[in-house]
Amino acid sequence: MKGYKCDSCGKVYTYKRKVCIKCGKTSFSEVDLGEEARLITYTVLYVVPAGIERSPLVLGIAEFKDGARLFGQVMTDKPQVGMKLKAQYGKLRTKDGKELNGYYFVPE
Amino acid sequence: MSRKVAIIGARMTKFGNLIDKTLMDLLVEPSEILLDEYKIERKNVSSVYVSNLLGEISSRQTAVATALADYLGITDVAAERIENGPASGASAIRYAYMDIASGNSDLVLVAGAEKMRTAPTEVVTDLVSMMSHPEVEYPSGATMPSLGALFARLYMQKYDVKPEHLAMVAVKNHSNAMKNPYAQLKKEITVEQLLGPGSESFNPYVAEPLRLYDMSPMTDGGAALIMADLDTALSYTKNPVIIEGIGESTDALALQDREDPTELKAVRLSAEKAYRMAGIKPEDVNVAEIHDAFTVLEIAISEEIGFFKRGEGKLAVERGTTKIDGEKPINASGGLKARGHPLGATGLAQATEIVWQLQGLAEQRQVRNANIGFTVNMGGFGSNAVSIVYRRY
Repeated sequence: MKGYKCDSCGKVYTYKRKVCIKCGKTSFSEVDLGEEARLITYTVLYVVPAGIERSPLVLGIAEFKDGARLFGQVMTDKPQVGMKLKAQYGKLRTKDGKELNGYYFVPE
Repeated sequence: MSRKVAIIGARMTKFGNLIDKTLMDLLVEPSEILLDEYKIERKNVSSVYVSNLLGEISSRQTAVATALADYLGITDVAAERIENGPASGASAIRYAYMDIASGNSDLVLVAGAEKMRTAPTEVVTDLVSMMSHPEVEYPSGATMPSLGALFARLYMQKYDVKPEHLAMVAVKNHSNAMKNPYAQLKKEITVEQLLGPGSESFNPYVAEPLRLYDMSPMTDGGAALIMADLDTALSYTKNPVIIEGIGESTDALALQDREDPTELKAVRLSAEKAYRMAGIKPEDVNVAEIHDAFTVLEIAISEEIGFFKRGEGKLAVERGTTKIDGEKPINASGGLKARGHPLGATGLAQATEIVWQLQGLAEQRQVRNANIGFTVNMGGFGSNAVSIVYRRY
């Protein structure tokens, strides 16, 4: 998993940004976040929006090393805070007939 | 030198499932009542601001402020629609405030409305979720309740907040709504019903750990204010409400990017700005309407706006401090939870309740000795907030 570390304040993001929301600086370096993340919070969502096929849908925020966080779908029926997850890339939903892709999590 | 700005009067429609009312009905009705009641000549209105989010889809309508001016027979005015997510209503008040304080306008109509019950739930849920981060939240299926639930789990864990605390907020706000003829949910509930045996069917999970009765409902409704500089306001009423402070703030758009995702920083900073501008402290506030889109938010926001220390908002609920007859009444109207939450109208409905409280018009919900009022209207899931301080004239 690739991360983007702000060269000025050190905040690490899981996606590319032009400007750091924490310090406002614009220079980032790519860092390796490893494969493993830990689930810090989750929800089991029973009312899903149009365009999502899975119901109920487990959504969570996981933390990689250096505190880099990523929100996404968690492919498990038994989510638990602290569980180890791996991020994978693939189809997340459809929007106006088009597939939207991105990262989701699977239990390690 | 900016001028003092006042609210002459406030009105709202009944909130609920208003299948027979159009978006225009919901904007026109409270506006017309105000214009008639205060005998305001159309030609004296110089701006019309309308807060609304979903007009394109709910009603196949844009440029709703111009439409409202037309329907009301108001011509040659500035007419603009304001969109700031669920905080659109308070943002519209802010625009009117700036317009008047600067001397640009003397008399301004602010109206807000939403039709949320026309499209199917999954469609409205999707529309509302469009205010989430377009790259890192929306594609995964983020909805406002899901983001609220992620926040709730972290916040409840950190401060040992129990489902009972959330249920107590729902019970209080439903009880307050029983005294509010304009409220959507007219149903007394008990903590036992919400959490006791058999509660899974009465109060099912929507987004664990949040259940149905932790959520504000889908609502149709409208509300309106007439605002003016103080001198003009006094020519129409002896009982205006002064806007003493307005503050707006933002936070990282995505919940994952916030320094501490158990904090609602935009809420805190907006309140601090409003207090500073008004020259008051949180302890000076006598009556408040705060953005309880989810029950957990009433507790968390009550701490962020300085009413209680961090982690002690739950104690205030336990002790009844936030009831209508408590020391710090919160959401006497029933709040978003039970009055209803028609997105574009919510900020104006909050203001309406405070105006009525400060004008002594809140009837069975009247808070005694209400002199200073406060509202906070939150946008996104905590990415934007607008706080307002009001004073009885």
